[in-house]
Amino acid sequence: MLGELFTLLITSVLINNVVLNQFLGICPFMGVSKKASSAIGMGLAVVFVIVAASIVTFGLYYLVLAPLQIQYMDLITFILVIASLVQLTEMFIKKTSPSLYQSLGVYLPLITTNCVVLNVCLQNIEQQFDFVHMLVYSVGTPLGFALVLYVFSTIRERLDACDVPNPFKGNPIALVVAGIMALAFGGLAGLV
Amino acid sequence: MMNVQSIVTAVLFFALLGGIYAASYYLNHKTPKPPGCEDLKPQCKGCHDKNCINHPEYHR
Amino acid sequence: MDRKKNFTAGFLRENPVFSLYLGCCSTLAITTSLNNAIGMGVAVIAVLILSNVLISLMRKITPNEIRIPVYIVIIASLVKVIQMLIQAYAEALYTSLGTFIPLIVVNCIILGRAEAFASKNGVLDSALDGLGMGLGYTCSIIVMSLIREILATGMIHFTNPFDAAQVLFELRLIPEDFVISLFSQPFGAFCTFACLAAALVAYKDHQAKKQERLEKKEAK
Repeated sequence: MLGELFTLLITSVLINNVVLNQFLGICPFMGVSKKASSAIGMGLAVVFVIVAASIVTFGLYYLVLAPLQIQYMDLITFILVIASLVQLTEMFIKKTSPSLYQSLGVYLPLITTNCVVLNVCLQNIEQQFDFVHMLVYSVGTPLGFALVLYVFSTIRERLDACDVPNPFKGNPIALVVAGIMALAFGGLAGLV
Repeated sequence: MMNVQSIVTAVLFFALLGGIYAASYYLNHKTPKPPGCEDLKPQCKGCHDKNCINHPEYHR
Repeated sequence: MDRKKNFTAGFLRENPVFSLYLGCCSTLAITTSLNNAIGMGVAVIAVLILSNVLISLMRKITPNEIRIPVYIVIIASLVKVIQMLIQAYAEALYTSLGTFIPLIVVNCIILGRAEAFASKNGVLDSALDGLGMGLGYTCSIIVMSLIREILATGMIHFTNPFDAAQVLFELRLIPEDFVISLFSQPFGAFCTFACLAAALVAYKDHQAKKQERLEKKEAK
């Protein structure tokens, strides 16, 4: 049981990485990776929102939607839950901790339309996880996102000093770097 | 099968969800930003869509 | 004239995928085959036109403060309808696109057009804008999927989306021993996207320079 959970964690963080293998969350990956500090802020905000959203949507699906036999309303429920959670979190941080707001707050509105969050909520149901597996999966996936975002931001700080061909400046060269990172992460597939 | 009670529950459930979202959205926009954070912008240039709220050129 | 210009903007000048970088997640993921690209393109066009029309119809009765929640609910319902239709009539497409059909909800193209165009313009204009942007997206992913499919499998292959067993079109361009299967993997996706985006930037630079030279000549 414990070994299986560990395998699930490693798979969701490294082997089946959200950004490099599932191509989710590409927009914040390119947009908020200019500085290592903002990458960490975004990463933490995503971890928090995904764990909270997973628990709430998981509960609502099995306690409300399934007994009422309206599973087809999952998409609307999930998107509403994620959007409300983001708003509530932002409001809470605003009121309680200005310093936390300064480092995390700006990234919160970016998360509503972040496909990683919705995808984790949908996968929890689709893979038919029980509560513990759901928890491990929804911690592992955003951790993988944060890891790749941080690694990428450190590469990008160096990339700015490089002589890149004109048309490739900005996003295209960032995508090439992501491709090479995907090759490197592909080597980790042998871990499990 | 579907009876009146479950239909009513479902409708109430979604009204509640939508209401919570609309209320939290409204309340959040009314909450003032803490001092020193009034003009913090995400500065996300991931996509070149100038109509996105997070793009630096949106507020021009 | 203005209408035509709005309509064609989505193909090159304001191409949603390679110029604005909208909807790159689904573009990178599903361009492994032509079938996927066409299926995804049609789904996005349908959602985009319907959401633009509905939002344009409701633009006068939607309170400005909660317009984004309203858009999100409309888009989510439309996507669910399309998802159920695909599941019912094109099972093979549904399994190969997988989670990327529900993820159309968070595709920036849809919410972006709702906010930028449909909330300010009439119904007909909004529908045309949706069709134009949707076609721009579809063309981009078809081009990218053709490049990746030909390099990775050496074939152009298209099956009937409603009946996966019926092959409509098949053509081998590269002998089987010379294909580069790396292009069907993440590395190929990122690199093809980067090259196409860079090519579009280079093309635009070239056009701008040509225009500049012409203007200089006229000034003389």
